[in-house]
Amino acid sequence: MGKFRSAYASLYKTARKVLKVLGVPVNETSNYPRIELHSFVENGAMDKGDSVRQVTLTVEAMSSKSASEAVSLIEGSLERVVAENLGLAKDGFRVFGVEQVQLQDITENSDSQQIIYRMLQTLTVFIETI
Amino acid sequence: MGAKLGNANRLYLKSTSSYVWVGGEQNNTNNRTAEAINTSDKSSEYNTYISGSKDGNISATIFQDDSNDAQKAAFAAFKAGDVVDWFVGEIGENNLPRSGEAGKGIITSISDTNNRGEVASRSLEIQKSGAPTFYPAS
Repeated sequence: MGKFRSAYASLYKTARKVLKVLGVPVNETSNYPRIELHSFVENGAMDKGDSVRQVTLTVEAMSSKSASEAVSLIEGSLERVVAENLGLAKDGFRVFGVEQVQLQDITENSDSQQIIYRMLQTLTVFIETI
Repeated sequence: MGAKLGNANRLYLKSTSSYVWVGGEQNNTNNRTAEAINTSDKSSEYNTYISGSKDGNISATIFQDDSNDAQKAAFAAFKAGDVVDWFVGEIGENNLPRSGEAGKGIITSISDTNNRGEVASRSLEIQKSGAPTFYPAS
């Protein structure tokens, strides 16, 4: 049996790269608008061959301008993460399913009275080694 | 003590001439039973028994993978009603059984479960037929 490899790092790097196409910062600034990838949880392998994995993560789109900007960003994010092949093959993985678990809308008033519009999409990504 | 994880004891089916792991296996259960024949008479108030016929079956839950040779062998045997060669345990050098149990059997059930949002899975049932071989030999 080979050495166990985590799928999380590969998924994080690839998802960050594909979301940058939307033209806003991804996990690199505290400015708005932006997208954050967070709350990754990779469960242990689901089979005796350590092949099948399940990773949950949250994609968060934030805007200080309008709710519709946050909605557009989350829609764009899902289009890329869910519909496109994330291309983890170079790391020896294959994504064979993405499930949209929960979409949540939060409107926040900060101390400075700035309104922040946030859209949080929790995803479960199914991955196997190749 | 030689405790080990259940991960080590896998289900293999013979495909062509060698054992092939049933890829995507999550778990298996290897049952062995012996019939208890009641030989009691009125000389004692307690029942007495002798061991009768031995039997057994194997069940496993696996992820569906129609490209896996062992899963293909299971389907082929199921359709044709053929006997399969099974092994549950650890394979050693030269793809030979190191520890566990091997024997012949028939596939009595292949059930697929296809739930939304879950990995498509398959349960496999094998009825043992004839005497098994235990490894290492005792």
